[in-house]
Amino acid sequence: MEFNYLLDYFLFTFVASFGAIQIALSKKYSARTLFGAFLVISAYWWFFASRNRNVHTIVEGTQLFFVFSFSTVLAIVATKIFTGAGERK
Amino acid sequence: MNWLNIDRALFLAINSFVGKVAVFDSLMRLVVNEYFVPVSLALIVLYLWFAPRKNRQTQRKTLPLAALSVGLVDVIVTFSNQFIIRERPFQELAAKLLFYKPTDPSFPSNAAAVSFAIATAIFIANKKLGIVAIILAVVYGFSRVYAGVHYPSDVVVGSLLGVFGVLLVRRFKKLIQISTELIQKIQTKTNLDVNS
Repeated sequence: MEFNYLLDYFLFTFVASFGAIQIALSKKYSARTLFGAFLVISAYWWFFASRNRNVHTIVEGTQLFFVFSFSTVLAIVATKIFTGAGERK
Repeated sequence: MNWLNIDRALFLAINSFVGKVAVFDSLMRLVVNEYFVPVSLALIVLYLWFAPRKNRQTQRKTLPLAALSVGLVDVIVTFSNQFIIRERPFQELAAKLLFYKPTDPSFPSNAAAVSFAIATAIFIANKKLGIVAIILAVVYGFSRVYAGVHYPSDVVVGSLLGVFGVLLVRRFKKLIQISTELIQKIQTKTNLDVNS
């Protein structure tokens, strides 16, 4: 239960972070901006629509902080790969 | 009528709206948890780190400023919880609950302290995004009262703690500068500087 909750949180923050980085790195209103916004909205939609998030878990704020940090690092790695693939084309 | 009674009366007035407008209840349910607003604020900080602007260094300082301030207010709230044990409103009053029953003390609101600390750090670096962040923090604080888990005074004191926490940490300019440079160095050394 707790592991699934953390996994959900990891996926949510990974996709949302990846989207936020795309928006930050994009030129105003480019395809990359739209792609980033789509990812952020989708991540929120999926996370909050898939399960009731207002339930008590033993997951603490510190754990959430570390999961967020880890997923952000992975989102940066994914951005490097994504940007590299785009430049090779 | 002392301030505790005023606080209770204000809580009951706000909480009495639960169940009256379904859409508003749903909105409060969406934002009251530990995920929606904290993650949104963290994403704004992340955006400020990567967004290319003229004042990039100022924007980048938001990350260590927010992180150190959150650490500080968290320590203060944990310390305060050892001595000031105020029961949650749903334990004392006939509150309508939209959230699970937290077991830690009600005063001060850790959620408000953390969200206002991040929002203030964002506001210092970027006024436009800062206003959005402060609105999110205000809505988050209000939702905690509306949902029946905090008294208004818990949220007000928590918010002030968050703001003053940032203003205090901000005075340690050298620490913020060193922290910012350290994160940038780690990013460069691990080849994760996506701006280059």
